[in-house]
Amino acid sequence: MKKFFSIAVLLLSIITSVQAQQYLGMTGLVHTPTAEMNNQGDARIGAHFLSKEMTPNAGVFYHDGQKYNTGNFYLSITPFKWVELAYDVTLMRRIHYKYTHEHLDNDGYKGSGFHEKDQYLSVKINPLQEKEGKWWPAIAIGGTDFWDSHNGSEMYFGNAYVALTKTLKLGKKKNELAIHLAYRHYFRDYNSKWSKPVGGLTFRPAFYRPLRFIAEWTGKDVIVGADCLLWNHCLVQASLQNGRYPSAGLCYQVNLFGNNKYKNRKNKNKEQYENNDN
Amino acid sequence: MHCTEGSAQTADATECEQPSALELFMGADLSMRDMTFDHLYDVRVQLTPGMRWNIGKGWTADAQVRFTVANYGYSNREWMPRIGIAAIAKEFNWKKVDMKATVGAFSNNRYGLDVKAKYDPTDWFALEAQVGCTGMYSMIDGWRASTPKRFTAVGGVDFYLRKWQTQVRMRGGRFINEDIGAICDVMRHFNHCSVGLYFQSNKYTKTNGGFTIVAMIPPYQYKTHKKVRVRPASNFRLQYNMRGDGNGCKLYETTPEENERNGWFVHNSQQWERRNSK
Repeated sequence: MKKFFSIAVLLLSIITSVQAQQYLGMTGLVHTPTAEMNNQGDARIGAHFLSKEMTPNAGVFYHDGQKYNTGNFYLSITPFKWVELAYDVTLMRRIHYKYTHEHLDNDGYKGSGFHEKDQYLSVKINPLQEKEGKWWPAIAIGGTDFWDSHNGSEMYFGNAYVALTKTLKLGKKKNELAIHLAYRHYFRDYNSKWSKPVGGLTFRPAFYRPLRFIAEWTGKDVIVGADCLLWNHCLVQASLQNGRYPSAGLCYQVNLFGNNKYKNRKNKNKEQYENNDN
Repeated sequence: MHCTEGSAQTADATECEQPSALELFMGADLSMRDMTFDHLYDVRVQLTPGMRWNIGKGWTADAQVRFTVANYGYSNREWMPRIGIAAIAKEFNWKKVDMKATVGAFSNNRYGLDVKAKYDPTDWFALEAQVGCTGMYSMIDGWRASTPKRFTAVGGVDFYLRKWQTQVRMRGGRFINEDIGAICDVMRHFNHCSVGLYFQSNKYTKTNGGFTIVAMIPPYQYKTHKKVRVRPASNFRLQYNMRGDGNGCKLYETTPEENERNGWFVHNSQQWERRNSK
């Protein structure tokens, strides 16, 4: 924990130069979950390039004895303000053989490719939301890849977590600094490096709210990065893990209630909630 | 194994204030399945032109043809053009029960007689039932058909949680593959899109589930009346089945635009969901 706080302080001191995002289609940091939520009705479809250090150490993510970079794509939605759901597909590299649809012929090696997929669901529930002027943080519980259709033999990304987020307004211009802490438990031993207290910091400048800088501790690695919502729909994300391994992604985001103007979204969504709730 | 199927279906007449006497439309059907390890997905794209004739007094005639324009991984027989739907339906009200009787060729290569009924005593609760007596027909290797003596019967309840614009639909019964099973759908309705999760159990898969997306494509309404209207597809439906079970809890569609968002009945007066959302 001492190491974690040292790194967090160091990153805070250089926060204006960091960049980051997350890869499941859910809200969060790059690899670490938070208690932040998308707006009600937000839906995302996107893809992410994952460096080899972002994937589990399971055998399926090794090829010729080496871990490989890969990618994923996802759909996600926030049907209510207190729940987020996502469906993810991560590509896995596989050796395959001559194959036709008429017969299977294993005598010829055909090469390898990203033809196998790991598909999983993510869910996050936010029972306590942050309120401006109140001291308590937002709390969220959730999990990823928590159900396996192959009798438990997969669940490579399987984890469950509880997360806390507290947002602070800084200065007269109200720059936003958010502090995120979480404890997550991975179900597989090869992911034990991430089964620890984790957390990070995000900074959202007042002059351009769609931009967010991120610094986080995954339990083993330090990730820095940034994300930015361009033209109200295009979410771009980039990150660097341990200063060596880049990841990046792009997604299309739309609000299904039609509240797609970022600067007015909070107020509009507040009205939408009230309309829906009454 | 996993299956994902999506289809851009016809403009929905219930979204039209004044449905035209004859509606000609063009949709597309995208099917993807994850069955092999040597490529990412089997993919099939079909064009689905069709027509609806609003005859009057509750009578409608629907027809749809399927032309495969792309086929990667599916059987070569898929290239053959085929009838999607060719049916005549009559909607009527019997003792406060909305009913619809359809005869003709349905989707999933079924033909015969189908009767649907829905009784909604309150604005949040309804009972529904669907009974069919169908046979299988095929246009591959010439015309073949079995005697329409397979009996299907599915009944259930609908709850519409208006406060959250959420529909909970629970059904059970005997489906077309002679399996007895149950399905529970939870669907959140947005402005022009519905997103839901479903869970099902049957003799093929004890536990299964997935998600359904029904998105309307603009224009959403036609305010002018035309005797003949030519229009593009106006809604896209995508369903993901976690276990890739293509046999369990399966029924057929009796109209090309049948989907979970708009329900069974064409006329506005019989739209239980829409009436509740006003």
